Amino acid sequence: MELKRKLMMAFNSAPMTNTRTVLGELAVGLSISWALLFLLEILRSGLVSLYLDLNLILAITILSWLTGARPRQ
Amino acid sequence: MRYIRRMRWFVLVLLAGYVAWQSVIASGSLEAVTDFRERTPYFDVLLPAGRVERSEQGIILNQEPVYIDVRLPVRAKSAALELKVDSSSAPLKLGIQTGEGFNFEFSGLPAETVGEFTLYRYDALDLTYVRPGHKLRFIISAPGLVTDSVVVKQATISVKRAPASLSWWQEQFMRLWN
Repeated sequence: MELKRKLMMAFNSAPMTNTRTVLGELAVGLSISWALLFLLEILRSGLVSLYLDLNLILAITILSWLTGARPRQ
Repeated sequence: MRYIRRMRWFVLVLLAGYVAWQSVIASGSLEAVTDFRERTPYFDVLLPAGRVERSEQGIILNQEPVYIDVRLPVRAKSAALELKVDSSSAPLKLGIQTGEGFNFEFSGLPAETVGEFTLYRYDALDLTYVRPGHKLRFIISAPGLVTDSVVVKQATISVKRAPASLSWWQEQFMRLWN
């Protein structure tokens, strides 16, 4: 029981919350960046896709949203 | 917590800054390849459309000359176009537009045979003329062309970037201004 309690405490401890917050912030940042870069690419094709893979950024963004979503309070 | 909140802007600055750096300041060279199956931002289809035919093997030349437009994504100092061609008729001549109207300069480079294909190359060492929309126009001339005998399989453009300079920015600004 003691071990279970310790594990539960570790799982709900501050570092985990911080990790989630960081991932959540990354997700927001990536979403804004992706939208901006996508707009730039539409305005002038090749400007962004020459240097960055927008599909990869979108995939990382979705992953960040999925892993960084804050737990319900 | 305050610092964590700023991370979203850090990501934005990092990604947008990288693109800006590459577009404005970075030097070096770039290469883009097409097999004409999918549209790319750098290559237009071979023109005029009535002289060519799209097939599984590539672009078949029915008449000559045809033109290929390459959009330069960056400031370019020099550019080289390489065409991979499956040709069973007379050799091709590759050239570049050097001024408005029908002003073309042809390559003196000999074609290279690699397996069953022939590689044609044009090196534009000092770009003097760029079409509106930052495009370079190359010409493919095939004197003595026999219909269906020339298939363009692949095109590769290699661009050497021009260093960022104040005069280039002034030129761009004046172009927008006028």
